[in-house]
Amino acid sequence: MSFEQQLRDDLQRAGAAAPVQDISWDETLGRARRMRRIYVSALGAAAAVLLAAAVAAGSSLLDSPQGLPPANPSPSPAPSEGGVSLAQVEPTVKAWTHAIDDGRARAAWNLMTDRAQAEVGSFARFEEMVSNELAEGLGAFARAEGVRYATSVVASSGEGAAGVVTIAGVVDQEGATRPNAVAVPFRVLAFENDRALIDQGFDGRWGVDPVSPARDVEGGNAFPRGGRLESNIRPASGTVGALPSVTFHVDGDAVTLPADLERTEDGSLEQVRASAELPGSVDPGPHLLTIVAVDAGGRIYAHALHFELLRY
Amino acid sequence: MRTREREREFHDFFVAEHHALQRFATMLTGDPVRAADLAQEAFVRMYQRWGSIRRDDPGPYARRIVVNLIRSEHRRAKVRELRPVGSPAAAPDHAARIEDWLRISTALKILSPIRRATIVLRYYEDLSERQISAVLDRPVNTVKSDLRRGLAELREVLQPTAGERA
Repeated sequence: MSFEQQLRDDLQRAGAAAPVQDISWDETLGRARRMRRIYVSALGAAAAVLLAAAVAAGSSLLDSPQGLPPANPSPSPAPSEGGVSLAQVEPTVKAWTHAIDDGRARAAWNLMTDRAQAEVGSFARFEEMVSNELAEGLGAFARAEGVRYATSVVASSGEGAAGVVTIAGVVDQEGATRPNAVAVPFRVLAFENDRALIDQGFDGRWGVDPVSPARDVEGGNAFPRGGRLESNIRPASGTVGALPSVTFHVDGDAVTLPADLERTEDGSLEQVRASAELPGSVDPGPHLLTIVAVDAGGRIYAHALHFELLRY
Repeated sequence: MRTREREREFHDFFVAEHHALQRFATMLTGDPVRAADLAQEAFVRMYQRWGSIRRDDPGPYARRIVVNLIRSEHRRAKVRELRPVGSPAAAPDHAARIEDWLRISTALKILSPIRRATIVLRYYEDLSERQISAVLDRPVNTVKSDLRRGLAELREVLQPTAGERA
């Protein structure tokens, strides 16, 4: 019998023998109800603040597709890229995560590009996503502590710009409070007065998995000086057609590194290994890494994580 | 969703899962008392979002919360001495099974919390690498690496025993 099979049998026997207690349903429900009352009150207060800000600004955050909802000013200066202003980018991303967190699916939908909406399929589907996975995954960043935004531009022209906004902070997700980061693709439309829209497609054609530094390892992502950043870019189809373009961004656009690409395989599935050397100019200490892949169709896929650059 | 309906559904889930979730937490902590606390905390947190998670399979979600709670505790206390497991109130004819449980739970303690969770999800809960990746929110390659390394660590501790038994 193999060691794995032996372990499986041992664990099954151990699990069956593990003592269990009766957890009181009444006590559990009582605690759950109290927690929910607090949670619902907090949501209501946040929605009231946002609504007041929208009314004060003379526009409706709730329904207008044009509604730019910067309840708070953007925390970083408004840069521009190739003559295109990025001033609306971070406020739009912020408004989008707040709308998701509050369950205002229509407001979030209205902040997305036509293409992103088409990738989702329908508003009904998006509404379902907002009440399920998006609330926990993206909405949690609306309530992050110590939140900061970093914008990385991957393409720009006279007609607009495209890139990702990385949101980092201490978030409460699924029972854990921990530092986390998420990358949200955006587009800026120059012909609509540099209007920014969310370009998150949710289509899953490509997945971006960091290899080094590994994501969320115990005790943080320690990374040696002079090490090589690596990521697997995985096509959902299992077959790599045209290679995507991949860049590594450290702390927004402070350092942008074009990746070397190599076709590899994971079992029978094809994937792309992207890598780049982290330059010595990056100081030791905590940093934010955003890995951005742009496929042949111009769709953006990204992943963000914290890491600690070691002195040696 | 009406409160009464919400609570009825949630109660059904609680009844169906609370022993299994406790056993899962016991496998991760080696401590049945703490496992009961963790399982209850997971149920309390699930209730907040029951309206959205009820449509998917809530079982993996509950396990993710348990794992995250353990990891949060571990971060706060870095190395937490697990409370010694007293002999559970077991009938003498259960002694061998209890011995099995003690041996395995002691062996699992050598692993980091995340690696322990990966091993337990794979070989106790019988999840695939992709499912573990979703439950733990970690890349599949990291899951594979944790499984490989976790097995190697456990082999050092358990294999001599397995040999003796053979």
